[in-house]
Amino acid sequence: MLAAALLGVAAVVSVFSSGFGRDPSVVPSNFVSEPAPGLAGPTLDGGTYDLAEDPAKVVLVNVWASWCGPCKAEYPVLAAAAEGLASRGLSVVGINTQDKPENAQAFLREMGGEVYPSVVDVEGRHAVDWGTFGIPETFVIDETGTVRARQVGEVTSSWIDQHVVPLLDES
Amino acid sequence: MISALGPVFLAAGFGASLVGTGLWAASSRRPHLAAPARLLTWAAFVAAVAVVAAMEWALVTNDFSVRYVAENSAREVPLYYRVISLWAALEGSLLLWLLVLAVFAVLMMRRVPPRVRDLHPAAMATLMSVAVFFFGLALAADDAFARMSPVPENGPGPNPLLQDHPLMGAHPPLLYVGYVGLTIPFAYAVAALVTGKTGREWLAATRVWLLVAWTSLTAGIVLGSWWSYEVLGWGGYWAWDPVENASILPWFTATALIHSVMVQQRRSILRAWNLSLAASTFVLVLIGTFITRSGIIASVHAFTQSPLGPVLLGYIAFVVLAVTALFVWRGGRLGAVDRIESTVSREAAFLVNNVLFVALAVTVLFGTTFPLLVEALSGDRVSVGAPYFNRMVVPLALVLVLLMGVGPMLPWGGRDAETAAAFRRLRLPLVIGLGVVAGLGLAGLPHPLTLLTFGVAAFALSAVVTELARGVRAARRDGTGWFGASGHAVSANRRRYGGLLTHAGIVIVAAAIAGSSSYAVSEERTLAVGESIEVGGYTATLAGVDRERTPRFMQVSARTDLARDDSALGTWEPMLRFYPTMSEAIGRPSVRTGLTEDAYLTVSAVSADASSATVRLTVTPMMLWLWIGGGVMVGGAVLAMWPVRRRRTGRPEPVVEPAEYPGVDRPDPALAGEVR
Amino acid sequence: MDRPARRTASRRVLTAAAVVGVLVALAVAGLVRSAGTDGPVTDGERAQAVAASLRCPTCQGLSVADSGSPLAKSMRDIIDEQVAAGKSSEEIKGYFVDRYGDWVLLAPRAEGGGWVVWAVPGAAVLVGLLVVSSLVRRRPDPDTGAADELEATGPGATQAPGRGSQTLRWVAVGGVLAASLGVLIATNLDVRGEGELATGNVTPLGASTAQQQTPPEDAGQTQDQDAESAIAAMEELQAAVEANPDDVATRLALASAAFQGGRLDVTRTQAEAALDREPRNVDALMLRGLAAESKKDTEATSALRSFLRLAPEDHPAVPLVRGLLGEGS
Repeated sequence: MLAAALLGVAAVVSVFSSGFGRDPSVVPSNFVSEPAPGLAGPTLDGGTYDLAEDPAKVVLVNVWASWCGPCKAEYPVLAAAAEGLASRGLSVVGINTQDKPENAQAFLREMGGEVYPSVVDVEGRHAVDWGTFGIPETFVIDETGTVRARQVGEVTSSWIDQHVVPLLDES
Repeated sequence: MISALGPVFLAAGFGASLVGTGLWAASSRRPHLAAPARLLTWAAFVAAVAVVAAMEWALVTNDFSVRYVAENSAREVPLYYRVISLWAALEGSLLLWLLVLAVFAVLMMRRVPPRVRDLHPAAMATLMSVAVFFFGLALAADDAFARMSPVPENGPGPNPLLQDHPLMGAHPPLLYVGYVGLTIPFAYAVAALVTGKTGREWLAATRVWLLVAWTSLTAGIVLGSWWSYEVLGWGGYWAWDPVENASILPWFTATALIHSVMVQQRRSILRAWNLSLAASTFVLVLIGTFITRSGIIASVHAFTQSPLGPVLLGYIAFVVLAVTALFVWRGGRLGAVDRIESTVSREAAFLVNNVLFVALAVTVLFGTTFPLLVEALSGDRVSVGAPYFNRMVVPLALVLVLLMGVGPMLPWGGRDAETAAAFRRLRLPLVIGLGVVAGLGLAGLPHPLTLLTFGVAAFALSAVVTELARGVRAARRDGTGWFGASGHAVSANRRRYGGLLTHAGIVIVAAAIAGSSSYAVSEERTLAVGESIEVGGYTATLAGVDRERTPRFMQVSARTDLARDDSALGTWEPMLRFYPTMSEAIGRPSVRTGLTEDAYLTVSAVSADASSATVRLTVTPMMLWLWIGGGVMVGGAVLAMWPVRRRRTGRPEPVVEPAEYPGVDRPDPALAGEVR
Repeated sequence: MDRPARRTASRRVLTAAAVVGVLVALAVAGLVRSAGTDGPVTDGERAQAVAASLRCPTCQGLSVADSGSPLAKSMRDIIDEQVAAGKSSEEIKGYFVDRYGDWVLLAPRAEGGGWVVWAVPGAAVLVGLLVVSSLVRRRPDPDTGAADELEATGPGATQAPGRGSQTLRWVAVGGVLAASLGVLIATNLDVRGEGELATGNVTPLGASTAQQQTPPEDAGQTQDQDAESAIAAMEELQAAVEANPDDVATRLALASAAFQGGRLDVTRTQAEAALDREPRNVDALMLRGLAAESKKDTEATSALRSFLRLAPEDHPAVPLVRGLLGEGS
């Protein structure tokens, strides 16, 4: 009986302890290593965008809203990536979700101007299509249209170095 | 700077309980050690009081040099909410836990029924060892008393969800009293195993603590649901969230224990069962603490990521293994001495009750931890939520309600004559129950399962009322008036009537849950000022949108005129509050509580020019009865555990039970003539 | 007991039985009527049921139906649309599972390892009853049992019936309990008559009807076909799709029929559903593009572009699509 209890306790402890050190609210995306969902539609600047037509080698899709604090913090990182890595084949596109376009435009003005386009997603359709859990959320799509990485919450420049730059160097 | 002494007090408490554990353990052989053991128990108590006082002082005086205050309080937070932010975060809540545990230790030390004198030292040692662990945990947790440098001007304040409703002052402490109180039955169970006195003695010592803990846990759970309903704004009160589940788990097993204890006192069976039920209840308390404090499961109520998870997990493993070892060691003394003779008897009903409650606990525990299991085995993330729990728990609960009608009627031992009498008394409740189903059903009430619940509830409630009335009638035979007779009947057997009253409360709660979850109607619409929304006979008209800015938050409220069938019900103000520390607004519903139904107003968006607001109006029937039922449950339990007074002015009690020998549910003297 | 008394007693029993019988009959009638008033499930109720079974991604533990968060609102809109377009509840849930994984389902599927969580409660009750029934036995002789513990038992124990009949009674009690729990869980499961849950894969209509349909590439040209017959075909195909949701060919046939019948919304959802399963299916892309062209949605344009990219040059619809996109051939 004691041996059985030991075994049982060991099993339960190993199950529970496998949960330590991870953030339980971060759920892995269904799209990582899978084809990216489509993304096409009018953008904040009045143009249109279509992921299928984007000629860039690697596309960074960032879901954001003007009312989200971390979005403000990560915007400079994304803008720097969009400007600095464009020549190496990176394109950054935003999904401005559950937001009022005028608020979003004000946000971009405040951040120093729109560096990359953002697809307007007032009703959150694109956000659902991409299976987003929170805002901000960022996806990396490679040349074949496959999602290679995904980050829930703020991205940092080291995250970009780690998950985006190597893909640009792939042949 | 009393707060600087906080860690010192903690260390002192740790030391006192550590040495106290040893002395208590030794004092069963060497009685002269009992005196210093008592002294150390007092010392641990003083240390716990001092540490809580130190933290409260820091909170009240806005001493932001203390880390916990700097992280969880703010100058502009009203005094009441500063005081209760003691349990707004993990480290502070551990201090409250310690305080409750220390109070229980002193109370248990001072109450030694003669019959359990042999068990008492070992039980105290067990309780103090639990105190050692929790003092250690509080020391190991990030130092709440650490000095901030530089000292911040102000803090962010407690989590907005926790700083805006007075119920937050009552709900967590009640839960803690419940949780911690369940340590005492565990301590006595361990003592019974250690001393080998596995008979009924430990039950006698445990009863009152079990009831205190149960009552407090029940009140805490009900108030928690109420808080959830009044604050979270989704219109519900129970979401089967992991932390809610953690609070209901020990409630299930404690309820089972309250009943199975009575079986053992009558029948001398279930020795091993009751001991393991007491032990599992404590383990479930620990598991609940683990779920809430380890950061392993996401939940609204959980404290954030903390380093305590592994420590708690290790302690749970230690407790389970230690108790199992004790069981193996004492295996020879755990067999049943007696048997149950009849399927149709009070004890059989209690056994079925136990099966169902334990099945409920197993279901909820397994459902709550199943996602972790799947994740550990396959890496996949799955969810187990309300649809699963409702589907599984509702049928079991329905059978339990049915049993509440039948069980208390049945005689101990299932003697044929009494059983027949019991069934005769059940005829009227049966007719009422069937009548309710037939009447409401033929009147066209939808949702058959809810209808069935109403029928079962009507049956159980009228059975309970029949029993209450029978006692009063019998007491009245000697010519007292109705009022005096009720008082006499109840005071002559508080336990029985307290229990029956608690059952009545549960039946009311069951009916209210069924009705409110099946017949709520709701609609959400964006209203311009002057427009209205109509739901279930209620009309809500948006009268205006107000904005207000306070130092703590910015608030927009939708001023809404509520009316029902053209009679005005005043103005209600659901609102949204924007806290600087939160990225999303916190909704505050506005609830018009009525005897038959609640009108529940929430606002989810307001236009920038204050000309319109998105308002949801939900009309939920029977909500008030949920809280009333909860109150009746608690009232019944308090009645049942109220100490029996030895002498009453006026006439003497026919039988006076010595307070130190609490047997359970002895036959009502007033009824003696009627049954036999 | 003398004779007249016995007669009165039996008459009483008869009356009581009659009263109870009538009441039981009335109660059953009440339950039946109650079940009947549920009526056919409206779209709103079905959407509500689906929303209640999905977990809101941005909240903690709340369902999409209960949450006030913006993302949950978007998800409710999507559910409403898909319900209106005739998608089955399972298909709608599948749509969200494709995007969020099984995590989004609040009640785990009873497949793979998931059945374990559904079996646990029943197993717990059964094991418990077995243990309890082992406790019921004829009282042991006083001298074999430990007599010191017996003082609490009351008098009258001698009437205890034999062990065999008691076991039988326990088995009966257990059986009744298990059966009623089973019924309760089952009714609970289907109380709102989510038909497709129970009958989803039973109707073997799919294969035969699917093959007779006109190839979807005809859709753009055969506008002359009678819209009414297209609608009749739609209904049949709708059933076939529900019977076999993963059959892309049937879906496309339905989309095509709907297009001819002027039900662009159905065309769109069916083409989308087909694309969910086969993202590079050119016919699905074309139908998706055609379905919404009139509404100027960009997804349609992008579907048409993808069609041109993926379709073989000799595909009969290429010139039409080029025309629609305003590109010369």
